[in-house]
Amino acid sequence: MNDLLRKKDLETNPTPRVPICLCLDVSGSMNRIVGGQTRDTGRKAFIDGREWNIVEGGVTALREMIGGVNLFYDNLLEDEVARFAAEVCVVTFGGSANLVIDFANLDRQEGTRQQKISNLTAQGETPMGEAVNMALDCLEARKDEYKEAGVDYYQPWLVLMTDGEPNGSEAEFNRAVSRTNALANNRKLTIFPIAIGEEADIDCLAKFSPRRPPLRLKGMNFKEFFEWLSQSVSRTSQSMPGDTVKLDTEGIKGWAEL
Amino acid sequence: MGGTLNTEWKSICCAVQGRGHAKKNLPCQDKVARLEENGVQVIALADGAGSAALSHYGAQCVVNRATAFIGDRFFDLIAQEDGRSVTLEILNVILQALKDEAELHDCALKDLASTLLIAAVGDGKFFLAHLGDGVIGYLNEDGLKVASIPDNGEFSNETVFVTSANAAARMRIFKGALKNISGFILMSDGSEQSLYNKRKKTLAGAVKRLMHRTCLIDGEILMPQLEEALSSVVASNTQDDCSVAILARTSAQLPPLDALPMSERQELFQIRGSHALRKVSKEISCCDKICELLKRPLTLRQVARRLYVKRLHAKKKLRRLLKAGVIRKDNHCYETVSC
Repeated sequence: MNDLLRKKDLETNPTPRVPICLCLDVSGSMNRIVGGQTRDTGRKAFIDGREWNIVEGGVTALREMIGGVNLFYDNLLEDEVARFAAEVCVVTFGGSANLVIDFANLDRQEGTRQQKISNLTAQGETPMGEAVNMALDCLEARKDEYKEAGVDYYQPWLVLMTDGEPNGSEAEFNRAVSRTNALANNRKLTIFPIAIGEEADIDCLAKFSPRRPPLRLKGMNFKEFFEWLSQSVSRTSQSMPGDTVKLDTEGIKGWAEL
Repeated sequence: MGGTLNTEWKSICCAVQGRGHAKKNLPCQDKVARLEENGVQVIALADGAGSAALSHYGAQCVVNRATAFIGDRFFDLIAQEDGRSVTLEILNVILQALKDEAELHDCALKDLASTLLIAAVGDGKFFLAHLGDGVIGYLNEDGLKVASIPDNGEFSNETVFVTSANAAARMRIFKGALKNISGFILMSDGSEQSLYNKRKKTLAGAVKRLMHRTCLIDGEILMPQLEEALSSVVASNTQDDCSVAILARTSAQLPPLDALPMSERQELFQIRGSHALRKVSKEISCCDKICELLKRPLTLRQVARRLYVKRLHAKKKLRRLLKAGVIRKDNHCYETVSC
C-alpha cells in the first residue's frame, strides 16, 4: 500500500473493450467433408442450392470452424489484457439468422460458451444479409451500452465467414451491404470477409468491405486464421490514443490468399 | 505584465512509464513541466501519440515551450477577450517549436504529435488550456470539480493532437478569478484510469490528498513519493504511461499543518504509535512547536534557543521534520513548508 494514494480513494474504470462479432455460415453446405475417412452411402441430397453425395464419417467444414472459434476464445482467455478487453458475439446463418452468443465479458460467457459453439449444426440456406444486419444491430446495441456505462471501446470488428453465396432476402442483403460500407468508409467498423473453400462467392463478400478485399482461407486453415485474429485483438486491446493498429499482413499469408 | 509574487501556490509534476511501453522497451511518452516566473506559476502535461515514433521528444518540447510561453505572456493572454486568437497564438508558438524540433531529429511534424494540458495562476487569476485526452480538474470550496473532460473520438485509441489539422477548433481554453479555488490537476489518460470516474465524470478522492500533500510537503521529499505512487498504484491499472501535474495552495479544503487533526499531523511527522501514549503525544507536540516556530525562517541556533534545548537535540528534531518534508532548509535557515 502506498502512503500517498490509498486504494479506497481511487476509481476503477472498466478496461476499454474491443467488441468482435463473428458472423458464421452454418448453412447445409458447411456439412461438406473436408478431411478424415468417409464411406459413400450411395445416397444424394439437394441441400443449400446444390446436390450432394451423402457419406458417413469424415470431418466437416463446420467442425473445423468450431475448432477454430474455440481456439480463438482460448487464446483470448490466456492473454492478460485481451481477456478483459475482448467481447465476442456469435451470429450464425443457416436457414435463418441466429444470435448464438450475445456480447459479454469472456469470463462471463465461459460457462455456456463451449456447449453453445459445439452444438452448432449446419442446415438450411444462406441468409447472409439477415445475419450481417443482426450482427450490426448487436454491435450498435453493445456500443450504446458502453456509452451508457462510461466504458471506452475500440473500433468494432465484424468477421464474416461463408463457404457459399447468399440466398436470403435480396433487400436484406442490400441493406447489410450499404450499412457495412457506410460504417467501414467512416472508419466505424473493421470488417474481415473470409471465404471458406473454392466455392465461396468472393464477389458477394467483397460488396461488404470497401476498404479491405475478402480473403480466401487456404484449405481449411481455420485454426491459423483464428490464431491470427486473437493476436490482432490482443494488439488492439493494448493500443493507446493515437496508435494506429496495423494488421499483421505477413501473418495473413500463412492462412489466406488475397 | 505585472502581478505580485505568487509564492503561496505550490506545484509538482511527475510522469512514469506505463507497463505497455516497458514491455516493448519504448520510452515514456508522457511529459510534464512546471515553471514559476514573474509571479506566475504554470504546469503543463503532454501525452505523446503512440503512433508517432518520436512523440517523447515532441511531448517534452511541447511542455517546455508551453510553460515558457504562458509564464511569459500570462497576463496578456488573460486580458484578451478573443479566445480564438489566444488559442491560435499558443498553437502557433508550439508548432514553431515543434518545427525546430522536427529539424533537429530530421523527422516529420506528425512524428512529434502529442496532446497538451496547461494550468497557470497569477495575481488572483487562472488560465487553463486543453487539447486531446486527459483531464483538467480543480478544487474549490465545494470540493473537487472537473474543468475539462477528455476529448476522445468515439473509439478508445482516437484523440486530437497539437499537430492535428483541427487542433485550433478543438482546443479548449478557460480563464477567470481564482476566488476560492485552491487546486488544479492535469492528468494524462493513463492516470485517468485511477483518478477519474469516466461514467460519472468526477475526480477520485485521491486527487484532493495529492493536492493537500503538495501544499504540506516539500517538493523534493514529495517527488519520490509521487513517483512511487504513480508507478506502483496508478500504472498498475493501465498499460499506458501515467502522469500528473498539480498546482495547490492551502485553504479551508486544504488546511495548513496547524489546522489538521492530531492523527493527520502524526502521519505527516511520521511518528509511529498510538497518540494516546504520552511519549507519542509529547513527540507530536514538540514537532507542532517547531513547525509553529518555523513559520518564519530560523537557524539551528535560533531553534535550539527557542526550544531551550541543546543544538544537538534540536538538530535531531529538525532532521526528522526535514525527512518528513514538512519543513525545508534553505541556506542555514529552516522553514515550515505550509504556513
